[in-house]
Amino acid sequence: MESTNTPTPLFEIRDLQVRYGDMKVLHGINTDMPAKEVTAILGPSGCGKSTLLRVLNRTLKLTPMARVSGGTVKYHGENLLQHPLGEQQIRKRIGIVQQRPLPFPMSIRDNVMFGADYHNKTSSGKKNEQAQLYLEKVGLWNEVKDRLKSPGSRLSIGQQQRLCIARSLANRPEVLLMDEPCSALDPDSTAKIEDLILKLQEEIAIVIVTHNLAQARRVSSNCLFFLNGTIAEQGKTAEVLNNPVHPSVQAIVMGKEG
Amino acid sequence: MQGQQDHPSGHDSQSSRDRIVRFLCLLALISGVGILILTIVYLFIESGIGKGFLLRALHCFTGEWRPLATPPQLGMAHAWVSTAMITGIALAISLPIGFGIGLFTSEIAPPFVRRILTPALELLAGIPAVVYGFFGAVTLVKWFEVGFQLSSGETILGAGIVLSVMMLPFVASTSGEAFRAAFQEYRESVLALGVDQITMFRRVILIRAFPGLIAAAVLGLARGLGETLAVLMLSGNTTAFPDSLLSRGQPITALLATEIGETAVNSEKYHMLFTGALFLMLLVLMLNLAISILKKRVYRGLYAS
Repeated sequence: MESTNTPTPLFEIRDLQVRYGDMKVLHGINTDMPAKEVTAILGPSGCGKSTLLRVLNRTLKLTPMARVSGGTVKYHGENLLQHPLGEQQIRKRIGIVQQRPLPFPMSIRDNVMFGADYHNKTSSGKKNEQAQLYLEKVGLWNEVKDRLKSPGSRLSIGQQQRLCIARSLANRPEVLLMDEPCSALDPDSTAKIEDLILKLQEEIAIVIVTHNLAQARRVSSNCLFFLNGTIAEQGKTAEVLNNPVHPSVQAIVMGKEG
Repeated sequence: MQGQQDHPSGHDSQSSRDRIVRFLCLLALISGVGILILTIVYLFIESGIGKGFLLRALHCFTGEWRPLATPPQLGMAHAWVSTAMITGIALAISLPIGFGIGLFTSEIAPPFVRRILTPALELLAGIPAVVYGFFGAVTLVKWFEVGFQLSSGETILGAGIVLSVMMLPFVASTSGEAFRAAFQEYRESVLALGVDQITMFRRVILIRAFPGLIAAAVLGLARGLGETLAVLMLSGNTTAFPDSLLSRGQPITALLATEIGETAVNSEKYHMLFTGALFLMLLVLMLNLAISILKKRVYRGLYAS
């Protein structure tokens, strides 16, 4: 498991601070995230986990009053927050899957190809092939192949979430951020998404926010444990969850809190 | 009435209080709908239904209005055409501007501008029609007289322009609500894919907001069809058939308001005026119904839920 050489991390986050108006949400985050691995972000509600994802996907400014008030984030060694590629390219490369699946008001096929269409100007002949590729990737193809033209919103919640993952994957991202992607789903759909995460990690880096410690154990190799806007503990998932040092993390992991 | 309101749960005071509230709400609903139904029934009766009603109805849309001729001619074709022209002009102006204002207040404007603009628009809706009429009379009517060298500046076009201003607050606030809801729902998810704002607006927001935009247009249209005083003051209120945007006209509401006071009850003219009112009422009702059905169909086709 332990890698012997250490390549440049995908993200290098130093002293990152974020405020919503006067309220400080992240109080100086320091961490590195490796490429092509799954990093889990754990911690109680409201401790800044989703905020960090928004910073990485450059969508923080869409939240009213929110701003980065200090620190740096490097992506492949360059400043993410003023990256020469520009905000739109960064959002394409660092995709995000929200907690609540939200199909757009269009067909299943157009949903999958929404971002890809914009970025690559896919010809309509190729669109079907491409849509099939990504729907197969998320294991949805067999369930929807006969109704590609029906609206995405007619799918079940679990299917919708996989549709949203396919939509992000069609952008061919280098990183996929997932904000509690299974919290609204039944166990069966959750298992499908966890399998998908394990498959995807061979190609891209995944950062998953989750409340579910067992899920973090199942899918992630690294983990960050957030408490009140700071990282209380970080390292290999097994180590953090088996031998936590921080007393509050211990309490949560042992099931006394959280 | 009460029977179907019964709920299987419990017989405690809570449930009897629930039942009383439910009954009072139902009563309010019934009286509201009842007034609507009674109005239609009343219009049917006063339009002299039964006694040559079909012929009168046909004549209402085709003939000329010459009540003093012998025999009197009581057709209202000119009024329906005036109404269609004035409302059409008003919609053509107020929809694009209203949707623009709606989009601006919902997404583009900074919050402090929004806080000023929204109540200002509501004030615009509260200005009495007669004030709009006076305003149009001292501005547009004067300008048209000079600009187009007309003997009298009262025109279909002028009435349509002022009516569009009267429709604007309804169109703007309803479409603004629709845009706001759509942006709130989709903004983050769509932009997170790295697309630009125009693509988001064109492919997602517009489709999501579409039913709301239709509702805005219908509200504006209903307001326009029913408006009486301002269009009466600005259209010239003559019974001649309007043949251009710069001719004078008399929308149906203006004709009814002008004539009803000097009409003998139960005369043929009286029945004809009520026939006009009945069709105006049915037109607005049908428009509402048709568009609410269309809205659902189109929405399902585009989006479905």
